Amino acid sequence: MKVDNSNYYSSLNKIHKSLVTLLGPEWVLHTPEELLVYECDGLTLHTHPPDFVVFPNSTSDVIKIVTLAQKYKIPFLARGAGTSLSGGTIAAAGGIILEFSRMNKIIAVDQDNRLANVQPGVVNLHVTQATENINLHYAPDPSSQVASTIGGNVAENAGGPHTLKYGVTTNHVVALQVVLPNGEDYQIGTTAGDQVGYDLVGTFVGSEGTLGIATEVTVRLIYSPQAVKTLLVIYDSVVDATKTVSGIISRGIIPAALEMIDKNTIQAIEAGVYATGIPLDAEAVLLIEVDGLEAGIEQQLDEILSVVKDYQAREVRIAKTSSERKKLWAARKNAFGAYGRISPNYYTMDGVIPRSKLPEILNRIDGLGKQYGLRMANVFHAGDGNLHPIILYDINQIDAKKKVLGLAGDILRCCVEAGGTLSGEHGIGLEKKDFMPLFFSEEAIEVMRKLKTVFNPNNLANPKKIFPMRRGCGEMSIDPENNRSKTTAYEKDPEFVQF
Amino acid sequence: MQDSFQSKTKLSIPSSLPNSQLSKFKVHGLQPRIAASPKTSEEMSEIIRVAQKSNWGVAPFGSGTKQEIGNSPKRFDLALSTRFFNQIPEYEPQDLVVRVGSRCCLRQLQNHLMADRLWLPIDPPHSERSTLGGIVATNSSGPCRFGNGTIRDYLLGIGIFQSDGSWTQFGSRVVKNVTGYDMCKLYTGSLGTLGIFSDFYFKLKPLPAYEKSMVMLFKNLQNIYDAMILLARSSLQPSALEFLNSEGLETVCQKMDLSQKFNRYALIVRFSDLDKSVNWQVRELQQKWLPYVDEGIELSNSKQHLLLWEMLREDGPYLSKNLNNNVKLKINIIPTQLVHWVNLLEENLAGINSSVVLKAHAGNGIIQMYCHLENSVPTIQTLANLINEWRAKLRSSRGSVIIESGPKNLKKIVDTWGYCYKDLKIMSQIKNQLDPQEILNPGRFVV
Repeated sequence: MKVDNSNYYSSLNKIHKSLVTLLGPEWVLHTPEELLVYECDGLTLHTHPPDFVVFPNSTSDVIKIVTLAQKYKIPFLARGAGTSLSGGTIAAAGGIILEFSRMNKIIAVDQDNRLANVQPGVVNLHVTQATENINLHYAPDPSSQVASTIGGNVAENAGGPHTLKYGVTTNHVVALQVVLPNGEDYQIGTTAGDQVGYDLVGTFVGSEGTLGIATEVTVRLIYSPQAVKTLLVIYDSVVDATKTVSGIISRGIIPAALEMIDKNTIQAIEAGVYATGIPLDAEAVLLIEVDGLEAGIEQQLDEILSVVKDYQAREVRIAKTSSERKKLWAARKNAFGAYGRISPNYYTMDGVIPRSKLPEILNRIDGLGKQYGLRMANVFHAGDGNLHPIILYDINQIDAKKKVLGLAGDILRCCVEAGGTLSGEHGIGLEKKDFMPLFFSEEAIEVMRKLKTVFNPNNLANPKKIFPMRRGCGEMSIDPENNRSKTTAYEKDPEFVQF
Repeated sequence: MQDSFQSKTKLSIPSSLPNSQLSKFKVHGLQPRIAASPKTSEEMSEIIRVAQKSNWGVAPFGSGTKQEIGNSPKRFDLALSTRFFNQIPEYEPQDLVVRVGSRCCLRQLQNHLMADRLWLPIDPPHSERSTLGGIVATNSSGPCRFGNGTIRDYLLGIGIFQSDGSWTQFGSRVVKNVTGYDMCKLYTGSLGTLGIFSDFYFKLKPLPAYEKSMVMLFKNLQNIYDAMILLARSSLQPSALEFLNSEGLETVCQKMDLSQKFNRYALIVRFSDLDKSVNWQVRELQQKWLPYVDEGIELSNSKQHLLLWEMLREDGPYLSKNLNNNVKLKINIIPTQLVHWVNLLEENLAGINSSVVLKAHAGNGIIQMYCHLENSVPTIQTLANLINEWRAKLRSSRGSVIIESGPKNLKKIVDTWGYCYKDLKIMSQIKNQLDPQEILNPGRFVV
């Protein structure tokens, strides 16, 4: 079918002129070369270029850009560091990407109420660095924390290794300034006691940019622990490692972190710059951390060591210094990067299962990998039951992508069947939206659509995310990968053009 | 009357209750025209469908401990009891997760978990009777929220009947989940206006190994302020931090048989952890607060300790038996402004001719104010004026004053919630989308 693109290009020209007037030419990218880097985010399996990338410097800029987007009915989405692993910041329907690197100020720190008010482009780790002199820190610590931004963390409800004890992003955000897709700005939540009325902050956090854009975030800070003990425990059996996880929790100990690394990951780490000398024949490693007050930390450690002993650990290493501790964590946090050493390509998955089902499900996932003829690795938040199976593949092999996606789908089914969910911390984004019916009934998806309609009635804010394509009512599925040409941009997609 | 109401509408209501029981389901003194206690999810769905078709006003009913909260219903045709949703169908101590019916009482659940030394770490008032459904609907909390958070932080999954009768589930039995919108957060504290809860998944915690509390008495409020700042800047990790003014302290001491001088303020600090850690923190607190404290009383695992926290948790001890005269306000402030607000409230209320108890979750910025009003027009008008003044003063910090209970005459002249921030518009739109006919608790909430 031939499509007349003349209206489309004339709109783009007008939009470009308006954006340049609003922000100045240096803050508007629009040539294919400039846009190339924004084609995808941490999820490289899907790509789609935006029409523009703009760099707002204030809430007022964001309001103007969003209002403009509404005027021309062009999609828009916010992007921080682009570390989303579910395609949350891919412009799946083209449109405007609002890049938040200029809005990166820590506006205020309130030591006595233990709060920090920050702009969304502030890097996660920078909040902690800015408050460590007063012994406070921001608890959610995704592996991407050296790059990922607070705005992105809010959109994805980011987790991290230490959320086992301290909770995820939603437990640490108390108030937000948001710009809704209609261009209106709102304060939601409060730092004064309890919120009256519906919990809009709780609803907004984790909505993956589909309900609006946060332009200021007030986060709770917590006191940095006096004492930390970090252990690396090496096992000859995955089952023993997973049983240790349940054993620790069932003794009433909630470690600050409880991470598991499998054999393939050990080999990747040991081949790289973060090698810690883990024996290559080890089947699994647990990284366990307890923290708290000096008084009592040894008591926690003794309890853990006794569980570890019960499950035949081969070796236990306890970090004696802060640099030893950092080294152990560097191995874990940089594990994903290390996969490049053992495989040309890898795909990081995210699913959650009840903790007690770890041995059974890891076994099933291993079997699925063999069935598809693909190598798998696992490094994950064992204490939360939050799995990150890594599928190792070579994109140049025939049907590689098809096989990877097939295996990924089967792994997700396996998680849901075990009583788990599709994502623990990476979000649904583009990646898993078509799996939503595995977990939710049609009625439940419809309720969430209604909620979205309140905030985002024209579906211009981050379209094509979270929700599976509707089959009916004139709406249809469009695969962004098959729609790279300009003809498929917002005007052609009935899913979000409802004006 | 019920039969005629049903026949008039030509609809049959399964598991409807006899007329003689209607008086058990009063909301703000109003009796429903019909009450039903569905035994299954299918019955519940069917009843809600009928209600929506008939445009009835529906109030979900657990044990009724929270029905005083909010405005009077605009329409109240049907009381919908969740009585049969009272099971604990799944419990995985290893995973620290439990699934509970919405009518299950918190006490019943805690007793069940006690065998494994686990608990749902919340301590809201009415702890003997209140149901999990009521607690989630009102986001009800108690002193231990300082160290443990509120029910919002423990709710992993929710089963809910929508306003069209369909049953939906959000979340699940896993402790970490970002699949779809976080509907659990939206429903927590929504006062039954967005759906009727069937069951929940909660995350659990191990019971603390050891506990100790310090009742610290202060001669003046400035010392309280200094002590709280010192605590905020320290490594101490109390599980609760409560404030009492002298009237509150007197009530507590009388019940506990402590003979203290009452004309003082108190901060009560609870530590819950391993014994070594608790004992270290108690010593540290005593040392840090030495320059400020007039007198300190230490209580550890004992009946007195339990009684103290019961007194700090419940509303009953501070309310009079004459229910019509009781006023309870919840005042949400920035935590470090506690002393400023206590000063202001005591000053403003000096002329009201009633003893005023001020109790606060000091670390969270939540003041609970109790008084017994003389039921006269000028007194009620004075309090109404004050509430409006306080609300105006709190506006810049997005604080609020809620009338949790009060005489009808007070609620007639001043709004229960007084919520007038811009985001009320979003809240109204959510209500319109999810309950377009406004059948669920119409008029009782902020929207």
